[in-house]
Amino acid sequence: MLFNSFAFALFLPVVFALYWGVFRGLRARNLLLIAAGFLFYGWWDWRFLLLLLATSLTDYFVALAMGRTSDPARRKVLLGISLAGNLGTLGVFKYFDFFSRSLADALHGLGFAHDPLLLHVVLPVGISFYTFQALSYTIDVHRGRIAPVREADTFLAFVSFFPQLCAGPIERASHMLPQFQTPRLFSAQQATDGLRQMLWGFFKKIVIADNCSRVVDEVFDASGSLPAPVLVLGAVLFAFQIYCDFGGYSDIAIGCARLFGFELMRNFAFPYFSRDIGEFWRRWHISLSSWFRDYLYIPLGGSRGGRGMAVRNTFIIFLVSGFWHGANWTFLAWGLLNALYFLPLLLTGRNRANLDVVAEGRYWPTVSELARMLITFALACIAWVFFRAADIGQAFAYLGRMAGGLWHAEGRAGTLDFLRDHLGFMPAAACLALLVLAEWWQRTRQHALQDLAFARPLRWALYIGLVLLIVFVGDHAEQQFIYFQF
Amino acid sequence: MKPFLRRLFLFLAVFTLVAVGLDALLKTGLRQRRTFTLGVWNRLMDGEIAADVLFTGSSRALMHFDAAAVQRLTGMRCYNIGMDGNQLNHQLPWLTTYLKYNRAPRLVVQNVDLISLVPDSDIYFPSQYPPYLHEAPILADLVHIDPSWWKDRWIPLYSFTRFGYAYAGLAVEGLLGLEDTLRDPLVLGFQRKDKAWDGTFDRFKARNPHGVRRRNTPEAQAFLRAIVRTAKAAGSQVVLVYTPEHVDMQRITLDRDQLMGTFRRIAHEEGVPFWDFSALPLCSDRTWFYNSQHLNGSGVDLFTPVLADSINALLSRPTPGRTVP
Repeated sequence: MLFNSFAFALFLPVVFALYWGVFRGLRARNLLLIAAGFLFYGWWDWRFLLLLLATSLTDYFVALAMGRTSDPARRKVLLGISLAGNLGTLGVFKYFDFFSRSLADALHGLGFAHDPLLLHVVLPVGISFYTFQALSYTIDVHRGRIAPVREADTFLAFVSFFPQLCAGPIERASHMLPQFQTPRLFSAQQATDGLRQMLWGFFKKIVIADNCSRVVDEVFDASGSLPAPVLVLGAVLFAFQIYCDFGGYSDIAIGCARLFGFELMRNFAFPYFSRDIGEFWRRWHISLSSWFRDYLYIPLGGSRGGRGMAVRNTFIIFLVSGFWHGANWTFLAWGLLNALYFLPLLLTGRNRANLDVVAEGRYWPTVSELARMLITFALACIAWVFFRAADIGQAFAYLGRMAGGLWHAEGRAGTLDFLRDHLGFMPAAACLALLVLAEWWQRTRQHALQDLAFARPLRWALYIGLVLLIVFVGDHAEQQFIYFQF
Repeated sequence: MKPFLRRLFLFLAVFTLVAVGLDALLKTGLRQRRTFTLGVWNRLMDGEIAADVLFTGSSRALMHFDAAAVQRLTGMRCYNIGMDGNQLNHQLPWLTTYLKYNRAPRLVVQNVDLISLVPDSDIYFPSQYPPYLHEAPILADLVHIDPSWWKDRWIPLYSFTRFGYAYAGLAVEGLLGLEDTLRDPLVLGFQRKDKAWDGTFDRFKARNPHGVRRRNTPEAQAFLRAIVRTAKAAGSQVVLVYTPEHVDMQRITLDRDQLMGTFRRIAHEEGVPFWDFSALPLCSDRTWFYNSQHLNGSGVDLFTPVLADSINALLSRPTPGRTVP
C-alpha cells in the first residue's frame, strides 16, 4: 500500500481508531499492528508476506537460541545463520541476476560464450530495509547489547511496523523494541506534530518529487540530444526529486509512527544545507549511514588503526552503501564518487568540522557558508547523475555533455525551447522555492512545520494552503517511492 | 485524547467547508464556460440548444455534421452534440440529459460507424465530465466503466487532483468571463478540420495487410436501440446515418457487410430510416478526407447539401433556395 494512495487514506484512520479506541492492552495493540503491517505490506502481493514472515521467524528463533547459550562458538554459528538467512534472501532476490549477468559479460569479454542463468524474480518491496533492521537485532543480541525478545508478537510487531516497513528509517532493535514492550500512552502533542510532519511529507512527495520526476525522466531519456543547461536542470531537479521522495517518505513514516505513540529515528536533517560532504552524509539517510557505521565501519576497525585504515574502511562503507541501493554499477560508481569527495576531508581531519546547524541564530548564511553549501550541493548533483543514469555509459555521457556544452551559445535556443515546453512545471517550481525557504527557516527543527510560532488561525490557514497545493499542483498518479525498489 | 479529537474534527470541519466551497465555486466556473466541449455541455444543461435537428454521435458526427450549414439549408435550428471518442454507451446519457433540459428535437440524426458496435471500455477525455456528475445517467455510465468515479462525485476537489491546476484555471476563466472565444473550434457543436490526407490510414493498412474485422456486440446494439427508443419516446423522429467513409477502408473491412446489415436490421426493427452515405462519389477521393474515417472541411462542404436535402425530404420541407434532386 502506498502512503500516497486512496487505500492508505482509508486504512490509516481505521487502524488509528481501532488502536486507541478498541485495542487497549499492550499485547492487543501489538497484534493489531502486526495485522495492519501484514495488510499494508500484503497489499502489493501477499506472497511477499511469506518471505517477511520466514526471515522474521528465523531471526526470532536464532536470537532466542543465542540467549540460551553462552558458548561463543555456538553464538557465532547462530549469528551466521541469521546473516546467511537475511543476506542470502537479499542475494537471491536483489543481486543474483546482476552477478550472473556480470559474470557472463566478463566471460564474453574473455572470449567465452556463456548464457547467464537469470532468476527473473520480482524484488519484494523494501527487502533491504527490513532485512537490515532484522539484522541489527540479531547482531545486537549476539553482542549482548540487548536481550532476545521472548514474545513472538512483540518481535513481529517490530519487524512489520507498517510506517517504516517499506523504506525505513532502518530502526535499531535497541531503540524500537522497548517501545513495543511498554504500554503506549496517547500524547496529543506527539500526535499533532506527527500529523504536521505527515502533511509536510505529502507535500514533498506529491507536489515536488512527483512533478520533478516527469521533467527528470524526460531529460534523462533524451539526454543525448538536450543542451547542457537543460542537463544541469535535470540533475538539479533529480537532486530535489530524490530528496523529496525519500525525505517525504521518511516524514510520513515518522509522523505516522507518532500517531501510534512511537518515536522513530530521524532520517533526514535538511541535507542540502550542508557545508561539506561529511556534513551531508550526517544529514542524508541517517538511519542507513549510522547502520553502516555501527555494524560495518566500527567492526572493521573504524579509524582506530590509523589514517590508512580509516581511508580503507571509508571506501568500503561508501561502496557497500552504493551497492545496497541496487544491483547496478551506477550505484557503485555513486558510492565511489562520494568516497572520493569524502577523502580530502578525512585526510585533513576535517570530516567532522561542521557538527552544528548552519547559520544558527542568524536569518541568513554568510557568503562563505552559502558558497560551501552550493559547492556541496553541486557535488551531490554530480553524484546523483550516476545514481539516476540507466548505466555507467549514460552517466559519463551525461556529465561530459553537461560540462562540454555549458558555455556554448548554441544551447541557449534549445534551452529556451525546453523551458517554453515546460511552463506547466512553473507552479511546482514555485513550490520548490517555498520548500527551500520553509526548510531553511525551520532548519533547527525536526521538520518544516514543527513549532510554528503563529496564531492558530494562521497555522490552520497554512495547513489548508498546503493541502490545496497538494490538490492543485500535486501529481496524483500515485507514483511509487523511489526507495521502495531498494 | 478528547481534546485532540475535538481539535482534529474542528480542523477537518473547517477544511471540509473550504473544500466544499472551493469545489462549488470552481465547478460553477466550469459550468459558466461557453467554449470548447464544456461550452457544448453547458448549453445543453442550460436548455439553450433547443434544436429542431440534433446531431449526435462520435468524432464522425463532430466533424461531419456542419450544423450551421445545415441550418442555413433547412431553415431549421440545428446543433451538433457529437463528441470525439464517445461511443454509444456515452452518447445515450448525454441524449437523455439533453431531453431533460431541452425541448425534444423534431429529428435526431444519430451517427453510426465502424466502431459503433463496440462499447467504450475506457473514458476518453474524462475532464469533460466533473461539472455534470449530479446527472444520474452520466454518473452511472462512468461508474460502470470505472467505479472510482464516485470519488469525483462525492469528494470535494477530487476532480482537481485528477486534472490539476490547469483545470482550475479553466474554471477561473469561466468565473471571470475570460474565455478566448476566438480560439473555440466549435460552431454550433461542429468542428471543422481543414487538413489534407495525413497518412495515418496508410500506416494502419500496412499494419493490417490481411484486412480488419470489427467487433459487433449485443451490448452496443442495445445502446443503439436505447438511443432510438429514448428519442422516439420524447416525440422525435430518428435517423441512423452512416456518413462518408473512404473506400480504401471499406475495402479492408472484411465484415463490413455484416456490420451494415446490423445497422439496417436495427433501423428496420426500430422503425427508423438508415442513410448510408458511404457510397457517395466523394468517398473515392482522398482530397476530401484527412483520414479514412473523417472528412476534411472541403469534404464536409460537399457532403452537407446532400445531408440537408435528405433531412428536408424526410421532414417534407423544401430546401430554401435549392432544388431537391
